[in-house]
Amino acid sequence: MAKYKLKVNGKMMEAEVDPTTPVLWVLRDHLNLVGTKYGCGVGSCGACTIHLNGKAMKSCQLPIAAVAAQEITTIEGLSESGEHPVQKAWLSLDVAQCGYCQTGQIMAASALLKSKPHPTDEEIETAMNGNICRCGTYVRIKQAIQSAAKNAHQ
Amino acid sequence: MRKITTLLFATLLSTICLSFVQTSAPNASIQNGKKVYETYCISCHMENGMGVEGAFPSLVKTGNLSDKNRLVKIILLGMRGPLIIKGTSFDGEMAGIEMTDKEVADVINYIRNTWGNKAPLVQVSEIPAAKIAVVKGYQPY
Repeated sequence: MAKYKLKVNGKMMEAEVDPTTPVLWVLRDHLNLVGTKYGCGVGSCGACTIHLNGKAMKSCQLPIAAVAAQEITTIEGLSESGEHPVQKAWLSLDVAQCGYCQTGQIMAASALLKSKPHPTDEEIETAMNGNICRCGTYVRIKQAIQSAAKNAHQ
Repeated sequence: MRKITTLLFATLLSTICLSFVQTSAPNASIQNGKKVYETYCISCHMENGMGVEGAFPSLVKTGNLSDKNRLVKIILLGMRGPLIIKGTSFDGEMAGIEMTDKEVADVINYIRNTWGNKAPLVQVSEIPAAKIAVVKGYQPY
């Protein structure tokens, strides 16, 4: 066990865990941030996507020892009021069906728009490739990202 | 005479253009390998191949990609640490990915010919033998 001081959603938090513990479980079991979901556990589905220094990252395969003082953002910290352009687009287009994957989808989409404010269809597909939606809402996900990109700059 | 000169000029021009296209066009396998990489590998090894320090190894300018048999096994069967790359220790896990032999060859060709890496192209026909080859020290997922 080791004690880690983590910067999560702009706040300093502490967790005493084994260095190999994936960030996903530190967030969910130790910091009570359960918005980030467990899906496959092997970095293949994207349900556990968070931001590490603003970049989308699968937290289920990321050991806590690799994070150190880097900045973690979870769905809870994406915006205080839930009014991030991607979240607003998600609601207005009724993107979610069962909703299990949407945390990861929103985190991946928001990281994409941060690095590429006006992504092409191909860039959206590339960035969202690692996020699976078993309900098959891909068309609405893409529309929501396009809508968020448009509305964020109005 | 003027017609012959024009014809010769046109032939010469098209030859130059064609040779330019052949040398500058990226290899189809590498091009398709980029798509495979973006589908299966990018979320851990990142768009620039740099990975994440301490978690996911970098694929940039590394000599760790030289053994194609090992790469085939890692891609299809996954792997377990510990391993040391450029002095950094990694002790994570990678699950194997179900791919066709063509996808495996293409993604290997992309990784081994991008980010400062250079290696001969792997042919699809080489993959079945690589799958059953014995690779010393390799630990599947």
